[in-house]
Amino acid sequence: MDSLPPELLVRIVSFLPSTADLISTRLVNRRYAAIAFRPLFELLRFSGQRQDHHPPWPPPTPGRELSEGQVGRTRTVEFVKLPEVVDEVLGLSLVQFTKTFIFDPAYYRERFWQDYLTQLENEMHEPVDEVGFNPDDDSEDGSELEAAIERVLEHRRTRPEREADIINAAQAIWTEKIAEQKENEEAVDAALEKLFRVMAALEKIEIKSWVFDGSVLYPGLEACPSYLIDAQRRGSFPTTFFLEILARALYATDRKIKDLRVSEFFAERLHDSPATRHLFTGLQHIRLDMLHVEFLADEAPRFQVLVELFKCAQPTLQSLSIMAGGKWPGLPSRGGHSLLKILSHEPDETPLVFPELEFVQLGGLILSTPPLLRFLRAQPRLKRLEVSHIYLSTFDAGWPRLVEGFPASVEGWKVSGPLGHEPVFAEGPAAYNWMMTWKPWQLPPTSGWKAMQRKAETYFERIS
Amino acid sequence: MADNSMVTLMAADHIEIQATLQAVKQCATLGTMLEVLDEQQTLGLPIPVLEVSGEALKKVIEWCEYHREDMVVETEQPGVAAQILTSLPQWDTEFFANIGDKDLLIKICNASNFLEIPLLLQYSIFVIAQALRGKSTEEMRAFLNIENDLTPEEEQKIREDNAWAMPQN
Repeated sequence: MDSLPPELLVRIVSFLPSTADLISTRLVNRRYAAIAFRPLFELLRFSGQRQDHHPPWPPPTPGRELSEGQVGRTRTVEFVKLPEVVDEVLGLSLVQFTKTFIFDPAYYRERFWQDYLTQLENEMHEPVDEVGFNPDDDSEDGSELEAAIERVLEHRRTRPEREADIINAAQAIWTEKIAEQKENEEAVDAALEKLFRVMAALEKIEIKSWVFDGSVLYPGLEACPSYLIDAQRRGSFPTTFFLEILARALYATDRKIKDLRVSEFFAERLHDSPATRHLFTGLQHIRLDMLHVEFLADEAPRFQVLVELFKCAQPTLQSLSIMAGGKWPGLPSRGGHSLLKILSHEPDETPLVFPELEFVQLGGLILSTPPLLRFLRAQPRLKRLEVSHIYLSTFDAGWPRLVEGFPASVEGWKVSGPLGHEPVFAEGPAAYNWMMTWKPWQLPPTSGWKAMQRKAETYFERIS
Repeated sequence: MADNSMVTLMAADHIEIQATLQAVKQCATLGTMLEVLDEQQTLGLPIPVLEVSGEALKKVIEWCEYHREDMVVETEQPGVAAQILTSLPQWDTEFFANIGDKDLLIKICNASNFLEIPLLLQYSIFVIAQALRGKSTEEMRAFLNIENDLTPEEEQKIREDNAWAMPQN
């Protein structure tokens, strides 16, 4: 009877996202024990998830702590408790096998509840969704509908007052926790250094935001999803602060990683320091997800901090992902943007050259075509591109022109989501709703590219 | 040779299978072989596929015929995390559902690996993984045709390590 070779077993195991399945797999035989070992112990996550429930915490639901296809160990932890948890984890010899470290501890950020009130205030001015109203309203003058809308608005207006006691109590707890976090910052630094000293196999760090549901913590609140509150104010996300903390610990232990992914990245909080330079040195893969992209605007000065950090990754970088626009709605903000604000030399924005760069992924941006092309054409080994929700703001330099200018090294590219180009008016605003939609299958075969549709994505390969 | 011309493949058990050239080109191994061979000398001769049984080769060619218009897409690309496959297209779901026999499924998986058909390989791996989900160790061994070669001491050590991997707070 046929059995499968090891290289296929590894791939089969990668499709087993449940810890229980991997545990069963490890006991099949020696070969399977070795293959399933890696995904079981190579990932460690310090997460704030389930901190929005009071202990005892419910057992984790597969797929909630880790995205599909990822298994490993998630330890629920508050930022301030990191020293205790690190000691506990170091008591287990398996940490030395950790290759991927995901960091999103529960972190009580300042002004959270003020931002919550801002969110309530903003909601008061949002249009009322009439979908849920009684469709049998047959009042001739629509007075029933108007009254229903008014009731919703009144409910919104009185919500801060109704929830005031809970908000004040929550604020008091937050104030206490924030003070505790500040007091323990040095202890957290020291704990992370201890952890990284042992993590000899560490290759990848992923920093995420602590996302929680405030209405679970405080059932009297109508709704309080943290991601909506965090989005109320620029720079409120703590992930860039986490990035610097981890950079300091890596620097202190002289530990280097190959892969860095940061969610809710806020560039203006990042510093050019020996620690952040150390973090970027040797990186092969970088992914930055961000909501605010003003530092990339055409009219902005070069963003020197990131320029210097990207220079540290210049000899080694193989893949670069710049994803903007957030999860909702994924459409780009207004105005033309340029990658050369973070990926170029002075004084004329000569693109940085990454000799090993093979893959570039861009999402949720309005980009000016010439600087984008200059950057792509400067990369000697660029093979593949992936873009989603990208609009090109340069008049008369839309997608066909961009594609025509791709360097000869590009073997294939993939697009998904809405795409646009060619502003309706040359002098009009650079915004997605002032541009023409571009359908990828409009690209003629004379372009030299053959398109293939799969689900919501279109792949292109060169016509040989 | 035109893409719609027919070629004959000969499996390990000497079973001959007819296929369009276009479908055969889904198999990188055979496509390369055809490119390097002298067409005049090989025209009309069956192409030997001696690593694959007739039963498996027949199913592989059935899949290739359906997908012959598709572009061959690399499912694993350097420097990029593989996209997580969560389901198969309808036709492919039915294709694998009709296989029924798990040994034939493993043969198809091995054949697509040998013949270098990235998408069929990815799909068959996915289907095997789906079949393993929720199975006990003994059931996995039976499905994969594997003997246990672990000593009791090795098993004990694995159980101890696994205790740490069990979901905890």
